[in-house]
Amino acid sequence: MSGLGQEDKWVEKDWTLGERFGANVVWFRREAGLTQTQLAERIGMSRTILSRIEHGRVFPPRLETILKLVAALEVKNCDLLAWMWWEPASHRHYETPPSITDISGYEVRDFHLPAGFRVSPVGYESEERFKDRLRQRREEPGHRTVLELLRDDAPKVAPRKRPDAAWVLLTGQALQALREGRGLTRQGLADRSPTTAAFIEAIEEGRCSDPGLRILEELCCALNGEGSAFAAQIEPVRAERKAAVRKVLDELAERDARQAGGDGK
Amino acid sequence: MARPKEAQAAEAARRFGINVLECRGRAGFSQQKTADRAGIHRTEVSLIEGGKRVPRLDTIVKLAGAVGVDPCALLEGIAWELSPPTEEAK
Repeated sequence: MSGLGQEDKWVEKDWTLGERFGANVVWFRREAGLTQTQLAERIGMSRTILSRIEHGRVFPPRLETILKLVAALEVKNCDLLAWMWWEPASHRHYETPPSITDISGYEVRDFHLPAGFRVSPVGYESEERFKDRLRQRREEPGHRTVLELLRDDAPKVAPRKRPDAAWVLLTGQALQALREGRGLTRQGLADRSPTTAAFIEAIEEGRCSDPGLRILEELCCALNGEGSAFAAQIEPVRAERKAAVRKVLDELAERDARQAGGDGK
Repeated sequence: MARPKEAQAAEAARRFGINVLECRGRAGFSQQKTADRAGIHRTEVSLIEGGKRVPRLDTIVKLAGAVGVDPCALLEGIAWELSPPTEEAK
């Protein structure tokens, strides 16, 4: 789902309540495939404020805002409030609760994660629980792709080809142009996306030989760069990735159909 | 047709207050004890239970911790009805 660097960042970070809420909003906004602008429009809020909520830079949101976000993201109340506790005795937020089993649904673990565990803004969960959570959302057509790919008998998606140097250089230049067009410094962009200024610099100068598609998409989203040269640059890679996923899905569907036919005979 | 915003907010606050009251009753705490455990003032607990105040996220999490429930238990049965975008465009 994401690179190791990102997970390390999540683990080491000392989260405030607002940041946790923001991370949950970002997480489910991406699952719903919405941009900040689209979500802000749905709940009648300015994109700036939404962005501040997502980064946890405003005072904790009011009940109405929470409910509006829940409605717009089509999630449950619990989803956005996950991973938040208050320990009455010490009057402290954000402590792991005294009895972990009291918290329904989410598995909480120490920072030494056993193999097979993944870190998400909504908590620490086992691979099994992660799959379960996605299966529960099966009815939603947008999530079918992810679910099919999680099946145990699913063939591996073909690995991405390494991009050539010319593409890397052009992408870096397009990113720099877009960023400067938006009047942001590298640090400014890094604050808005899950990466560091040093990594952005590496991409812009073409020193990173194979920047991941996801990070490029994040940067594009953070810069609100739909329709820009940068978006056009990463579009073919995205299309290639989609085609690879589609191929696996078609293969699965074909196999299912064949098995169904075999059972019938 | 979605209800007006103010009415929805008032309704949400009222339901939230009832949920707090129920959970507090189940834990067997007084308003004062709940307020102490949550680190907020007793009058605020009283206002919230009466639905006269719309709580913020930090208050929700504090109250939930104080009465020993998951924060989303306090939001049970509360939902927001978004007005459809077509209506706004008109």
